[in-house]
Amino acid sequence: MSEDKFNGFLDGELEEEALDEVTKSDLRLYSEALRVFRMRYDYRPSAKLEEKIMHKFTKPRRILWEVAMGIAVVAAAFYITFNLVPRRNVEPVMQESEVVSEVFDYLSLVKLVGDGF
Amino acid sequence: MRRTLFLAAVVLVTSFVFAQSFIELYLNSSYFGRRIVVERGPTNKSRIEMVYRWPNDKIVHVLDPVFLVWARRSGLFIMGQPNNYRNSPLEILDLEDLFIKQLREQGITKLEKIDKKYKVTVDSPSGLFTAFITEEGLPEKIVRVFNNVTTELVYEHVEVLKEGFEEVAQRYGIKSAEETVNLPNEIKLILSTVNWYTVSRLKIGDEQVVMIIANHKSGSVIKMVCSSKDVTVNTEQNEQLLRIKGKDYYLYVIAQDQSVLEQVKSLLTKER
Repeated sequence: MSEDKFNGFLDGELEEEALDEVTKSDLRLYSEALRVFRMRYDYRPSAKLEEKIMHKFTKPRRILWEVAMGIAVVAAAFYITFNLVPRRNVEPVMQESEVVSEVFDYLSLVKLVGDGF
Repeated sequence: MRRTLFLAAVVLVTSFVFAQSFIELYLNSSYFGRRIVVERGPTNKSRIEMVYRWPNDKIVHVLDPVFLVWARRSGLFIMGQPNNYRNSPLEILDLEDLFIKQLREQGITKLEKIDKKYKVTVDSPSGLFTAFITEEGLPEKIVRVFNNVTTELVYEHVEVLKEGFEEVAQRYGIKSAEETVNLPNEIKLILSTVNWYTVSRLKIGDEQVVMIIANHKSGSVIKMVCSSKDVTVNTEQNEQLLRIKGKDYYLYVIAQDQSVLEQVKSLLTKER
């Protein structure tokens, strides 16, 4: 095959008649290969297959989306619980000294189990 | 006439002797009992207990409203829970102890025999006591009425106790306690001069304090405020205030009666 003639033909510089038989044969092979190649790359899957393939991509995306939503809801719940809902003050109002606390507990118990002096 | 008087005297002496022997029997008895204590008045309270009593010692297992054991051994008091007993600086006296105390101090005001039990009435400054005691010297019921407060101690089951103090004490894990409850001595001394008291928590400024309101044996009210810091205690016009500084506490004694406050001062000075 004459490569110059082949390229000249593809570039539109030469007519088909100007090509030799070998180049013409190669050109037919090239055209066939190109047709098959084009056919392959112009492939359009059926609607069913397309849906199946797209489903494979959208499913993980949906799971990710649901996880993200869940995290957001939990975060919002934490924020509301710890920042917006008024909390009961569980801390002792003030520090009670040990001696005062012991006096109170002891006298309360003696009063509870005893009936006087 | 002479014979009638003689017979009356014999009946009187015989009843007196029987009464004495039955009281002696009761005072010297050892028994185990299950009992309920109910107090009705401005405030109500109740307890369910098991009691082991010997003539001088006692073990009381309070089942309700708190789980607690207290014991009296040779005049010393221990209270707490198994493996956590502490000496009690104050006497712990139940209604029976108070009845016996007044019985010994005041004597019997009235004695009646109803079927096979005795109804003993003791009128005392601490109240009017009525006790029902069986011929065997076991208590059935003791009632005290004092200042519109009625306290009833009802034994639902009583039986003669054959075990000794040590045996029962061992079962409850009672040993001689190593620690004593930390109660300022002044409070202990002042409480020895009162009939009863109430205790509550109070806030003065930023300080949490304990307020004790007691009924002095003279009949007047005496108050105490115990605080870990120096606080300003406001008093009424007719009240006198005594401030005491302890090791790690402040005690304020408030009395309406000047003589009561003087008694308190004298008592505290004597003990120092």
